[in-house]
Amino acid sequence: MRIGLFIPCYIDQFYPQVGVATLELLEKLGCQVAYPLDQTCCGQPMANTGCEQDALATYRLFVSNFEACDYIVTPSGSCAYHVRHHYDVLEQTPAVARVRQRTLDLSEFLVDVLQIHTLEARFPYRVGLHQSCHGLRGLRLGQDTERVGDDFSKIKFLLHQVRDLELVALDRPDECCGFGGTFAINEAAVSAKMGKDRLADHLRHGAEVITAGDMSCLMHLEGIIRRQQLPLRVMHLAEILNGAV
Amino acid sequence: MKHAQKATRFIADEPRTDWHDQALWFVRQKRDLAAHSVPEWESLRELASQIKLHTLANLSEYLETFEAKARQRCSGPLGSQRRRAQPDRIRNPSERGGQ
Repeated sequence: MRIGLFIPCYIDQFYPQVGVATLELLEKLGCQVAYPLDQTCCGQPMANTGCEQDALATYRLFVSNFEACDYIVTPSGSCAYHVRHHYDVLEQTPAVARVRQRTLDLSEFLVDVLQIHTLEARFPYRVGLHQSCHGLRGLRLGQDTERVGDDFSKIKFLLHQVRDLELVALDRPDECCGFGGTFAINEAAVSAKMGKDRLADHLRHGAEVITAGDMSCLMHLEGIIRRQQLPLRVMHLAEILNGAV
Repeated sequence: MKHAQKATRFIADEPRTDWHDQALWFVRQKRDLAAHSVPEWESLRELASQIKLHTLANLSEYLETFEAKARQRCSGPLGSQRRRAQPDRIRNPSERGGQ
């Protein structure tokens, strides 16, 4: 099984340790992982800003980088969602269709493809889970609270396999962090207030670490944590599953 | 004034903002409570969504039928009260300003 690792642009720039953790975790689980060196971005920042046409060349580059892979794995629900759902504007060649179908968020890949039931990881902290909108409502990595039906969560399924990790309950388990990409710039006040409210919920319930499948949400929350000097830190799911303490 | 500027002013009063947030969340919780008490909620919601889509897609036809029927029922021998209730011709929203 040829796994292509896609590291989102902002993770490459700001959180390289998350990319390293993802690679180490996949290799630990026996995957042959390739990292196409020409990769850049999934194109989401341009498309979300209304410049979808300008993103097309980036989309095509993504497809040509990864079309030979059996699965394209990325530590980002948001990027996976973008490739799967917004590459519909490309001509649907077999390569495009294949890449769209086979681009998975890390937690989906671990749960649905590798079907991981036991992980060798320990994390003795109280952890609050932030569920990103794209992951939860876009990729349906879990049941959102507004929907009626059986509760499930791929990310929680993985976190429950980590020794000594205590998952804290939140008042609002699936509210948005307020980041929203360029929304954070165009609507800075609302964006920051939403982030502050999220952090208050985690603090109220004694979380020491906030984790998520999307580093973009965590980047936004971390900005507020730093400014307000809150006793919290953020870690991507991959870092926890990889056993980092 | 742009939305972002107004929002900045509004949010500057944080206790008031929090009050609004809690009030809205209270409504959301009541909604969840009601929704989760109906097992077939999601299928009803899907059906409602299809009805909405269908209605929007065929809205012009439904409005014209409504207008024709309304005219039919208000014509003929009527008391003064019903004549007063005679419908106006359905207007394009952009024409409304002239009223």
